Amino acid sequence: MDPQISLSVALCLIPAACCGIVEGLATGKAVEAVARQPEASGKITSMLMMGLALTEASSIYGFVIALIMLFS
Amino acid sequence: MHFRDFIPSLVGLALALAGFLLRQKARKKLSAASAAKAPAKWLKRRKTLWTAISVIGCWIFIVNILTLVFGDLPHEELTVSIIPPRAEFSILGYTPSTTMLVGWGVMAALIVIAVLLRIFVIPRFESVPRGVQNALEAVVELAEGYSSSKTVYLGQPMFGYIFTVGAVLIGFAFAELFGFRSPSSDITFTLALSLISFVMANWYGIRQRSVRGRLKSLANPSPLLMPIRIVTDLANPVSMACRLFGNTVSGMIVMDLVYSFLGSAAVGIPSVLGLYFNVFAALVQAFIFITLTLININEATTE
Repeated sequence: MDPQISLSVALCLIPAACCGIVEGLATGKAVEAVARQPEASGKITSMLMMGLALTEASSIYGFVIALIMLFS
Repeated sequence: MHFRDFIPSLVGLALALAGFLLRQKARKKLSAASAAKAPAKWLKRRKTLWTAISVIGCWIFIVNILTLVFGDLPHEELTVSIIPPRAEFSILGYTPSTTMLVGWGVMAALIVIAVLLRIFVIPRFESVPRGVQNALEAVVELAEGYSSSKTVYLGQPMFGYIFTVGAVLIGFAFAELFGFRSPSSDITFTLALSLISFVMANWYGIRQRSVRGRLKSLANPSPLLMPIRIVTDLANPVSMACRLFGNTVSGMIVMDLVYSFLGSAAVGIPSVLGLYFNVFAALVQAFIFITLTLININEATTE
């Protein structure tokens, strides 16, 4: 494989690492919120799911671009 | 075939039988102990241990027997195709892709289920629900409440659309569990679905507030930012399509890796992993897709 392509695929997956850190932070905040206000856990869970999916989008874009570079 | 070939499967069978018998014994002891007083913790632990050993023995036995009967699976290099393969036949000179056939199959199954429910269940609705009626009412009420809580004006008309999209996406997730390639791992399908929601948001926005109002809502904080708002709106369907596609494809690649890693030992383990990677991830994505559609429509229709 062309070394330039390998390098750029690796660079494309940096967002995945950042996304892991940020999702951990968000989940920690959600746990804090539930501990402070257990009666609001349903709303917090749905908001957390929504936010996590939106955050994950950035790493997914990187992943899709990496796939396109690798396999086509 | 030599006797030596049978040894691993015999070991597995022996493990399974021994584990099962010892588990029965431990269970009897445990029930005797719990009848007298609170059972000791180590008795429970021993029962769990024997259960695990029996399950592992069963697994070894099945894997070895399958290897003996069908031979070792050839190890092949993992290849991922972003564009799904085409079918082997053609209709009127057009070759459909395999994901499209799967999609048609799932849609046919959903239509059959809907017709069966309409013919056999809905005429027999009672004022006091029970059984299937109970489940149907719960699902419909949940979806209806969700769609009217997310949008101000169009909760009622949007409910049918989001229910359809959710049913189709969940059906695709379960089709993937049966080993077909899910249509949502085909970027054309996800792009079509997100374009539908884009057109719908603009159509309802213009109908609700006229062209002038729609343009005004695009120039919301200040008219200077209007090009940026337009680009954001245009990027929305692309981002929704990429999100659904990327999530499904990543689950598919992980499952392919598991299959190629386990080789001929892929019995039982992939079905447990598939529940997470193929079904749970797809369900979350279906939920997100529905929510984003509702949010877009709400943004376009309200002041």
